[in-house]
Amino acid sequence: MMILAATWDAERLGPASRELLGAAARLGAALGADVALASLGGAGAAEEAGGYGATQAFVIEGDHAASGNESALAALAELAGELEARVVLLPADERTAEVAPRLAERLGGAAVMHATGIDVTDGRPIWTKPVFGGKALAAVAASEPVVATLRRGAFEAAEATGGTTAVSTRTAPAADGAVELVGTDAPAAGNKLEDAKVIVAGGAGIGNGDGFAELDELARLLGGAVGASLAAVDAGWVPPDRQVGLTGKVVSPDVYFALGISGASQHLAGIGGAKAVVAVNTDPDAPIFARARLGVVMDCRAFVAAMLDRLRNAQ
Amino acid sequence: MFGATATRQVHWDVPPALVLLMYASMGLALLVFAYGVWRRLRIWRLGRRAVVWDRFGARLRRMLAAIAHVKLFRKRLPGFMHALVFFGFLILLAATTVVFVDNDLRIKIMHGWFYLVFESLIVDLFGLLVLVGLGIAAYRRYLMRPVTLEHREPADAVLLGSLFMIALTGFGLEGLRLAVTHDHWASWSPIGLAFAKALRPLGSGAALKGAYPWLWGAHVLMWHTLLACVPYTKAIHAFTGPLNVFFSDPGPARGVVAPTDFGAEPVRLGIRTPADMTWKQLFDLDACTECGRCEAACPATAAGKPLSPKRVILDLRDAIRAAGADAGPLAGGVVPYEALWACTTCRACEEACPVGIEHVSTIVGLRQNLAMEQVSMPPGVAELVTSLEAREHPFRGASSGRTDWLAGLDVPELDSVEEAADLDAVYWIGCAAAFDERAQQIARALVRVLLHAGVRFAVVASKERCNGDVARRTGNEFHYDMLANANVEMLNAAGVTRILTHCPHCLQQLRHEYRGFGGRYEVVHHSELVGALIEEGRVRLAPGTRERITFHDPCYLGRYNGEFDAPRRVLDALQVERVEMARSRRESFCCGAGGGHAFFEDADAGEKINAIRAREAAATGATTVVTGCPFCLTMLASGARSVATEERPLRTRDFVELVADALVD
Amino acid sequence: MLGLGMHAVVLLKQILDWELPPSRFRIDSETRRPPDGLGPTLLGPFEQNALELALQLRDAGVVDRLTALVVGPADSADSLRKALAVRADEAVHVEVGSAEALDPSQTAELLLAAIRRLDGAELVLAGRQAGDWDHGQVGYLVAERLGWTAVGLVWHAERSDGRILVQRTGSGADERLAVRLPAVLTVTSHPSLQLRMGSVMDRMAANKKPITRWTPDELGLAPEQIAAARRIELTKVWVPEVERACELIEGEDAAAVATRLLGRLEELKLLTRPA
Repeated sequence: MMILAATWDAERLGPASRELLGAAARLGAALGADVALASLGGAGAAEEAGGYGATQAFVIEGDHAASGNESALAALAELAGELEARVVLLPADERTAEVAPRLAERLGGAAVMHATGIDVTDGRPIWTKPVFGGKALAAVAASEPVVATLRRGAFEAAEATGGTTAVSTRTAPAADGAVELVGTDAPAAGNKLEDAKVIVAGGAGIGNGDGFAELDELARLLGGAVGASLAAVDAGWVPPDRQVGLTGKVVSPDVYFALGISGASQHLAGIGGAKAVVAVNTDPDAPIFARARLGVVMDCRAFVAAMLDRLRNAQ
Repeated sequence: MFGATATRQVHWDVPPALVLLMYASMGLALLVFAYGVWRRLRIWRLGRRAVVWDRFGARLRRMLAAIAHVKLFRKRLPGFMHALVFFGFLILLAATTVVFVDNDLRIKIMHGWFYLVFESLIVDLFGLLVLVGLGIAAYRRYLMRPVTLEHREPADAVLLGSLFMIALTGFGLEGLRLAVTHDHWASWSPIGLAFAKALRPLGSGAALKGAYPWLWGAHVLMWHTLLACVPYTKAIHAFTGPLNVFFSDPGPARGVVAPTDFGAEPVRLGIRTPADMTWKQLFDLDACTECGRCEAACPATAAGKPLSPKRVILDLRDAIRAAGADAGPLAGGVVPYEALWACTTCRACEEACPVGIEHVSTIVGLRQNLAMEQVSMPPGVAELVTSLEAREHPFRGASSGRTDWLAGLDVPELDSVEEAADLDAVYWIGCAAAFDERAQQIARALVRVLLHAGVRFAVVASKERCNGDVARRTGNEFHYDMLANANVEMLNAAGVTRILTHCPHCLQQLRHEYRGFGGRYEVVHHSELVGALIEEGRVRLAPGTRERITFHDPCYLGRYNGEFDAPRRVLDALQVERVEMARSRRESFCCGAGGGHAFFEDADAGEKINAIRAREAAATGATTVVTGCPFCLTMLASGARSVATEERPLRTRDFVELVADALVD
Repeated sequence: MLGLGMHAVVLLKQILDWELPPSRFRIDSETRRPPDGLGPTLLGPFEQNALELALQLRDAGVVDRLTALVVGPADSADSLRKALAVRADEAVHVEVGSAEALDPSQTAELLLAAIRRLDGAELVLAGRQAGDWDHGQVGYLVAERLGWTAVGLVWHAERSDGRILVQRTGSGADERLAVRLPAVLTVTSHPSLQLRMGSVMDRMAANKKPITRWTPDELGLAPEQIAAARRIELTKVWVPEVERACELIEGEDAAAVATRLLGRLEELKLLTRPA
């Protein structure tokens, strides 16, 4: 019996993968199962797995990107089957939004998406996940094998144990050509949202695309990245890859500036990992203030202008 | 008794053949005139039925006021100009009629004192006034060149010139006659005499006499040509103008949009072709004098947005004259999309128009076609409608429920029909106060005043839906229809008869527009109720602050509902120093929120209307601008932020907030 | 089939208003769901995106027959009317009782049976996740069980050499993929996928168009079969408490607020040397 965690990290295990391994280790302890790690990114990540409590590590070789998710999916299904994995843990992101439910179906089990907590009751994992756009939480039991995606920042990362484990190398089954990658469009310039320490995010209150140009500068001056609410993305002021929220990026910066963002639960679901939220909004009753550490009741455009002034002068 | 014999010979020294020719040319001119009228008539008859004969007395009064130049005089110089020309020509026409009666009908009236005082002296003086008036007109049009007269056509110059020449040749004829004959009564025609003196040196008596028939011929021909041209040019407004004022809605409900029959087969979705307009809307086009007063009053034009109410009318007129029933598509074609969506439906144009053109009804009709048939509207309007459809309020993304703010307030929800009959009024909260924090402060203040004065009231807040004004004014009549029906059904079932509202848009709907849906209620704006409570001594107020305050008239309270005084009386009771903005009352300048604009941004740049208005408020030296509409309040507050400085703050309040602040227990 | 438009099915779902104010939102601890009548139910946002993408494919001639399919209680017919109002060709309602909370696997079973009944469907579009339970699985389960190709988080699609060329949100970068038919695409939100409004004529016509109604029974699915398909059990649903501890930063003007805020962030060791 095994708990299999999968990562797409390449050289090293990133924070999300260490969180997976942390959750896997605790779940494994409760269920009496060992932890294996499968790396679809490269050998480097697999080699580190032993140091974070995995007893087995696999590197699955192949050009996984070339077939969409087909190759990764087939390889994980094959490996999970061989290992008789009870639980497969994946990081919650755009890729696993597709991989998890399909993998679960191929394994004959069920998927739990965006889990934020795991409890074990009567030897069965009970998963906590947000529902209704984050307005509520649900505890769910799922048919095994369970494929769960874990929300970034919701689980404690595995401690380094200093252990090691041998890495087995496998080759992904050949893809059947159902999906072929034709090309990728590089994401817009700017820091990766998931890793940014400071995020300057704008919402409907920013008013237009020019307002986002100012946010770009503010983010640059603060050494951070620009995020956006669904409203701003839908308005076309900022590309969709900047969207933070349940259906966008889930972020965990030190400081999250929510500028002109009212704080729909959909959006709040994406900033659960932020250490401190700074809310700037004209409406003092906006729900964002309930989540914020610091608040400013002000037109966010005026606030941005003042911040820019202040930071430009400091340079 | 020289007075008894005083007269002159008609057609003096004009060969009888020429006189005959004159009659022929007159006949021809009348034929051409009649044909022109027929062509106009054919266009008017394309239109749908319009109600224009009810409220006869009110209509007549409005028409007489228009003829008396009441509105025209609001602009001094052009008003004066028009009065000179209009009344001058009226007298000249009367003089010609006298000639006709005397000479052709053989009813001899053109003699004696009447001849001397009226036919000679008065006509002479008015003829001079016509020349002065035309001079002013030419000076304005060609030297002053106000932007409102930007649309210059050769026809304008011809019209002006020919009127001038007709008057001038008239004096020329009189001058020639007086120069050659030794008229005993010449001094009764001082201008003619002056012309005679000027003409005498130009030739012998015989030469002058010989010139007379030619000049007479020219005079007559010009006049006949002008007459023939009237139905083909804007000169037709001499007839259509007063009539259009008569046909225009005399109130008291103003700007009410006619309901659409969605059960009709096929259903008419706004104005796509001329046949979708009412004949009054088509008549409007032929009443336009191109004076540009609408444009000068239009907030969208002032803010540099792509709308001129004058252009809307003229573009429709030109397109429909050219193509008749086939003109089109009107919405989004003849009248561009951008222009239609820039309108705030404030009705400043209609208020300014001296000839009763109802621009807004046509603009809303065109919007109806854009919205309902072509589904061509700014994204903000589409979102607004989506919100109305899904959630029955226009505040997209509202983070609170409709009645959340009422928690902890001593405001009962109406629970029985019997109770309704017992109340002074049902307080209609409206979406603004339900969902907008700022507007909630208005409602809280009003509730305090009502409780203070012991008014028996209740709310139906949990059952309210948007009144539908934003849907209706953005042309989304389909959604309006649903909201209006649902609200009327709810109010009628609840037995509501008397309603209080703090929102002029709710007021317009509940008081006037729901009548078309079976909703008849006695509705008061909070300024009317609070004013009455103060007068009755039921509201005790602390001594005034003497703060300098200016009042912004909300369009839907003022121009739409004719209520200008009630809020001012309340302010006066508060003992503040009330000052007026340059544009106030009927000429009040919109805050920019009307016509759905509170909920959507114009695509185009241009200045913000609310910034212009806030500047006007600041220019009075007032430290607070007070209004009586939650939407005006929001717009003015953001406008004020752009103009206020630390030394010169500009606060924005609803008047009832001032009343609540001043309450003494 | 090359060059000819195909038959596409768009999967819809009528859900509780996702903009329902948090102050109104409740969960009935008995039924573990929001009580009926809590707020309006609407066509879900990602389903709207999916419907719009389907309409764009039809505008482009890739699709020539568009069926809207919904599994749900009676109010789900609203979603179908909405689809008909933007000119979906057909509407199919698989009616299930309102108390029945289906899990993704059960929903997929019912959808599968219905899709098999619709002849010649080659393309299925679904929202990436339904905004009520946020499971985000149904589209993929349908694809896996039909043996069709599945691609997630798509926001653009066109036809290319007998395949569908899609653009989708990937991890880190947008991807362009050539997808073999038949396929299921799950659709994500994108500025280009705001659902269009129907004209009033189309809306009125939509009210007169027929809706095909199938019961699970008619689709050959007995209650026990549906029950057996369940794979996810909700054991508890609750609304989390949110504590409010927001410190408001105030100042004479925006500049003072900015200075104070930056100072405060530094004090809290959240921002290092901001100035």
